[in-house]
Amino acid sequence: MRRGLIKRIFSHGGAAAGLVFLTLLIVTALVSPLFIERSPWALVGKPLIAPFADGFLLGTDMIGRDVFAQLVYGARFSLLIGLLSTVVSVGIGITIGATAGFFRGWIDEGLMRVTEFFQIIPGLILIMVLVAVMGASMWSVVIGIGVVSWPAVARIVRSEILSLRTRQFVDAARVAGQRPMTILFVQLLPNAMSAVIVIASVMVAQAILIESGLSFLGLGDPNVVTWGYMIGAARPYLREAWWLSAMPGIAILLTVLAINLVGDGLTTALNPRKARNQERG
Amino acid sequence: MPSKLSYVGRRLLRSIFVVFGIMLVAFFMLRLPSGDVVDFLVGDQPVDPEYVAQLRRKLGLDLPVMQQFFIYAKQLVQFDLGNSLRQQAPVLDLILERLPATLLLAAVVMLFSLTTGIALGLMAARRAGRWQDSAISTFALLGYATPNFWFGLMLVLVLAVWFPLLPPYGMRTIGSGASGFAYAQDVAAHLVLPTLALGTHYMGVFARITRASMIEVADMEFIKAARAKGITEGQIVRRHVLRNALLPIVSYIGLQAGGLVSGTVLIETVFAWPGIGRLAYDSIISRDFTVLMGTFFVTSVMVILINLATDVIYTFIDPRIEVQ
Repeated sequence: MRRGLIKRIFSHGGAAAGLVFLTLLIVTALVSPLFIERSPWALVGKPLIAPFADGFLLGTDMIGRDVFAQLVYGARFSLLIGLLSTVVSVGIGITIGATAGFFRGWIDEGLMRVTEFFQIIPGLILIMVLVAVMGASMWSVVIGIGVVSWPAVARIVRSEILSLRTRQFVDAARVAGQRPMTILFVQLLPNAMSAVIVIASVMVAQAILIESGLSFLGLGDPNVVTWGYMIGAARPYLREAWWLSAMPGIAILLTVLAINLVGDGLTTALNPRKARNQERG
Repeated sequence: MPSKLSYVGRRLLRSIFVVFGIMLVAFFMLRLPSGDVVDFLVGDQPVDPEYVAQLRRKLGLDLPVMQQFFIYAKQLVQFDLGNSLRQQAPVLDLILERLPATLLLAAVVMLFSLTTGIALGLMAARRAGRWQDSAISTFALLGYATPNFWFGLMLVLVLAVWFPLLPPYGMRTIGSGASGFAYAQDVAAHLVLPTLALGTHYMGVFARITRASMIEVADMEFIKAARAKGITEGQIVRRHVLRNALLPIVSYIGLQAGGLVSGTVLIETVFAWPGIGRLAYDSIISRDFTVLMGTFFVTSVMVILINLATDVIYTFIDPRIEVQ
């Protein structure tokens, strides 16, 4: 199964392009401190130098900081926050979904009401409240996004467990004397993972979008450069230097698009039957 | 019919449960171990501890937690959201003053994205596999990946700065004194950019859902049966396929209501639209916690009501429930 995964992702044209873009982006984000020694906050030249002028690849911002350095550091933190908050929400989602699907009955009923609650309330406002209460830092943003994004994972894990537990290999494990908890962790959860991976990939993209919105409003961590922050900071200069707002937005767009394309490719690769259904209808 | 009514009743009970949940969340958010509302209020400024203690007493934070919760719940049930900490006004008044602008924006966005999205989806389904279909799918994918606030800024740049066709911000031209039809026209012009910024994403989403659901329903047995009876293709699409295919859209509207409200926070900030999204943002900047919690509570209850409504509508239009 696993051997042809990369190959199968690559058989999907858009997913291949997305994967190449993401790989380049991640490598750039990781090695950036090696070739950009100065902090992205450092003043390096006159303000508002246009791209490709005076030795600056993408020019300088309104107070004379290197835009290219900011974009690269922005990639670091936008991706990092996207990944970490997905880890938080996947963790909460698996715990709640597995508990609901495994115990069923009133526990399931109660947990599903909680899930429903988090699914329909206006997420961004709850995140704003949480970040305001905890104080703006990278961790409060990660926790905020994680706390509102888990319902989709919980629903999928629950339904996977409910359908897996009636399968014969689970009966076999039960007959063989495995304990319920062992069955949950050894038989049920590992088999639910491919569905979780697919949804998690899309959630990283979603988290990057939410984070960019928060930072744009100036509610993100004031100590890190993210793409959303760059758009927000450049906004008053839209008339004089529109490219300052345009570039980080394009970076977000391309990244989210690439992640979604890879997510589509993963759906096809991990779950061919569902993917066929999706394409057909 | 009685089964439908009992379903609506159960659904109503569930909504009440969810509102109670929101009350709990809102209550404990004000009393997190990492800091309560007073810490939030004073922020990082050095203040006299006596003043802090006084504030705690004034806000009732020195009482036992259970007693605090009862007072709080009693106030909420009476639609009392407390007073603004910064402006001398009840929170509810501030919110009610801003609500119409947000409702107008949200309704126009929904109307715009539903009509254009369904139209695009129908076209894509009819031309499935051809270039029109791929173009619409690509558009939907791009719409999903674009941050709406950034798209809004770019729209302002192109359609208000480079080609000054539309007003870049606000809800009406200040000091124009227009009334009647001219006033409506003025507001409509101000609505165009925020609607495009927020609605393009949903247009893509609705196009995708409509397409998928049209193709799925068209493949079902009862459509084949209708075709075998000799009903014309146009009638099959209108009377049978469309009616069933639009069901997922109704439930999706409910699910997206929360996202739409979240979107208005960003879009209202970009376009200086005088709604509750903008009020929520301003309340964070001015550290006005009761207003922030009030907007959270009111928008959540609004979203729950929209969900309740779409669920009820769904039960009454779903042809499969009639059979039972």
